[in-house]
Amino acid sequence: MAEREPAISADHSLCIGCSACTRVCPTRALRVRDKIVQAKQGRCLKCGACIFACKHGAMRAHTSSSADLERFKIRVALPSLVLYGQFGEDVRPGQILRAFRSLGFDLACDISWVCEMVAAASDAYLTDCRGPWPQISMTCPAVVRLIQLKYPDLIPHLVPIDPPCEVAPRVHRGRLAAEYGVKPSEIGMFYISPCTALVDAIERPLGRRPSSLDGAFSISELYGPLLRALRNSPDGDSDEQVSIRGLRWVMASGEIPGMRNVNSISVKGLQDVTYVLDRIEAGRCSGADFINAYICSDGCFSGQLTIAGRYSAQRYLHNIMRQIGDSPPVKEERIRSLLQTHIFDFDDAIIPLPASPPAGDLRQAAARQRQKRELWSQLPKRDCAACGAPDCDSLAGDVVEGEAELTDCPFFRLEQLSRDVPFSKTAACVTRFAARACCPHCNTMLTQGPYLEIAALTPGSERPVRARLSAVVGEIGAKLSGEGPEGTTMQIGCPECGTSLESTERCSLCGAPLARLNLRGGGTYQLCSRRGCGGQTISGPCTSEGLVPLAGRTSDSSQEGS
Amino acid sequence: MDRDSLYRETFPIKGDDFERGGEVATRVKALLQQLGLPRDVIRRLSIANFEAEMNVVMYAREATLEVLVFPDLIRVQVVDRGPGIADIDWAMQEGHSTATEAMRARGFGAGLGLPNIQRNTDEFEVKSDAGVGTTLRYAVHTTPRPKEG
Ligand SMILES: Nc1ncnc2c1ncn2[C@@H]1O[C@H](COP(=O)(O)OP(=O)(O)O)[C@@H](O)[C@H]1O
Ligand code: SF4
Ligand code: SF4
Ligand SMILES: [Mg+2]
Ligand SMILES: [Zn+2]
Ligand SMILES: [Zn+2]
Repeated sequence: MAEREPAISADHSLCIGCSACTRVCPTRALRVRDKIVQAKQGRCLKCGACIFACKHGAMRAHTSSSADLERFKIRVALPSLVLYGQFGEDVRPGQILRAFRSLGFDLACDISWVCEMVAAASDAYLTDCRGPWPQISMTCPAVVRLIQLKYPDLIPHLVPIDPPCEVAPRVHRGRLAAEYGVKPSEIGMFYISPCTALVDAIERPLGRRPSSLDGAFSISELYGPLLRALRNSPDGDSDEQVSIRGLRWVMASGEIPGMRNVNSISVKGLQDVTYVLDRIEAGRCSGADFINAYICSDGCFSGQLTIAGRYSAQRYLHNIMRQIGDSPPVKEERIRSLLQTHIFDFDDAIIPLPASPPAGDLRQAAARQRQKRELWSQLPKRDCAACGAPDCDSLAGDVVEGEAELTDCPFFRLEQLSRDVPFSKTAACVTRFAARACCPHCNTMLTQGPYLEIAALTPGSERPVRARLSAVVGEIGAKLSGEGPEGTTMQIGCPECGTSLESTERCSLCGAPLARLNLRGGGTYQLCSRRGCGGQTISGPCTSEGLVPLAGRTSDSSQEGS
Repeated sequence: MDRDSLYRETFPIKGDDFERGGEVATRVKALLQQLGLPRDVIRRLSIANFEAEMNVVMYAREATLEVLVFPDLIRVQVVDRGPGIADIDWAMQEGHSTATEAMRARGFGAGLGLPNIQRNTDEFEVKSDAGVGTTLRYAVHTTPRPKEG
């Protein structure tokens, strides 16, 4: 297989370094360094949470290309069942499968039967299984990677049965090769995936055995072409080939229908999954014998690479199922004979992934922990991610590992700047500062206590109004007042001499012009001129004259250093 | 003995806070993982910590759970302010519980918590002062040593 890009990577030309993604990552894998996001080695689950979080489209999913398709004589699409719910309730699975023929595929195979068979195979496995309970399915690769990374003790709980997308090629490849008179390797099997985790598992299999798929495309990238194809020729193959039990298995929330083992449940979403895994680990998961766990909040319907909203997609699929009516179940003998062929087996061991570098000596590890706690106690505990790490704890850990500095935290930096102020020596790093700023033209002091007085002219209005805004550095409420809606860019001037304060630099948050003031004692203080933004920068050799700690209003969140 | 601990950290637990019940055990687990301790040690301590934490959530007002790391063992002390345990021998027996129906409905109150802590630890001790609170001390050895009793 050709070398492919990782299933998710950051497009550095689009990343603005806002750190939104670092905060959603369940394994705290992401950091913003030098204004660009980076992933820490070996921690990514390919869960795709960062794709959702990025408003700039910088987190990209990578799938197969048309060149990958062309390497095969016969190209087969194997769509996730989620695809059937993407086009509304009037488009039937048979039509969708048919439409793939105008997209460069020779055919598309339904995998609902495979889903039904995987459910039945899991059932059969559980009947003979002797624990440990509950058993956990391997359907969602992100959950398996989470277990490898954070719950290695739960590895024996995993049911060694591959997900339907891995089993499907094994079911179809031989038959299709015979049918088309080609070698099995000349058939390209491409999964049509709802998420990055399943795409990733093709390139980086969970075990050592290579994937049985040849590649994958996302539902979202094929959605448009499929929709067009459906409009142009809406006829389809018959629906008889769809397994209703298979569809029900994908739709399951809570108890899983159709499993003989009644104590089966579906658990969805990172929060619920960690809740359940924590309890299993503590030996306190009562009730269920089998757990189908999905990292996405609504299972595969809410994968990042889908189009239709998860609620509508499920409703559509429900109605489609009702229209199709029931289908006869797969015969037990067929399942039993397939079990003999080991077609469902995940025949490899899942190995634990080290969550952190091997600690070696306990003494050293404990020393590192002490150091980390000590560093953490010096940070403001705002968990704001402005430093590029997702929270203060992660920054402290990065500093211990030599990958970052405490001064990456802007609040810590401010604290250092005013080290010569006696007050701040005793206070923890939660001090708030007022910027003592003056007009660069007439040198009038514009700060009055914790406020800054300026003249603001709203576009379209005649006369500038005096506006008072917070001079507290970093304060979220440091927003411009004035007329007009939030988002209006104002002209900011000196209320004394009337000169415009517009700077040549622009706000790093919104791009509006900054207003520039001088700090007493050196340095400049710039604030965004757009109402509601609150962007600020401080630069130059600031002194304790220009940044004054505000007494009596320090945060009470820390009793540390007392 | 506390003098030569390699690391110590204290975690507060709130009574009645079912919403966050189990959180401290999870945080301690992350700490033990970062210390690179053997998986079996982490597993046994996680079970004990979870039970101890849930007992505080269910029966006491508030508590601190302190973790002390020594070269050869991990010690945990859970000191709570609450009603205390009237009859420790009774409470230590499997199946003995004063949990309410509501707690049972949440899957707790099988009366297995304290015995489970004892089974999973190498040292175990409960002290209680009626009306004041309960102190639980337990330890898991990190270097293999035959377990007494
Ligand atoms: N921290 C505590 N404070 C007061 N009573 C407690 C505490 N821990 C345990 N108990 C008492 O001991 C009994 C047995 O506890 P445990 O073995 O954990 O079983 P369970 O929690 O299922 O009842 C509890 O029902 C309760 O009456
Ligand atoms: S895919 Fe998930 S685990 Fe990987 S970096 Fe993004 S949010 Fe983190
Ligand atoms: S407060 Fe500082 S250390 Fe904490 S997350 Fe924000 S920037 Fe990072
Ligand atoms: Mg208990
Ligand atoms: Zn002026
Ligand atoms: Zn701005």
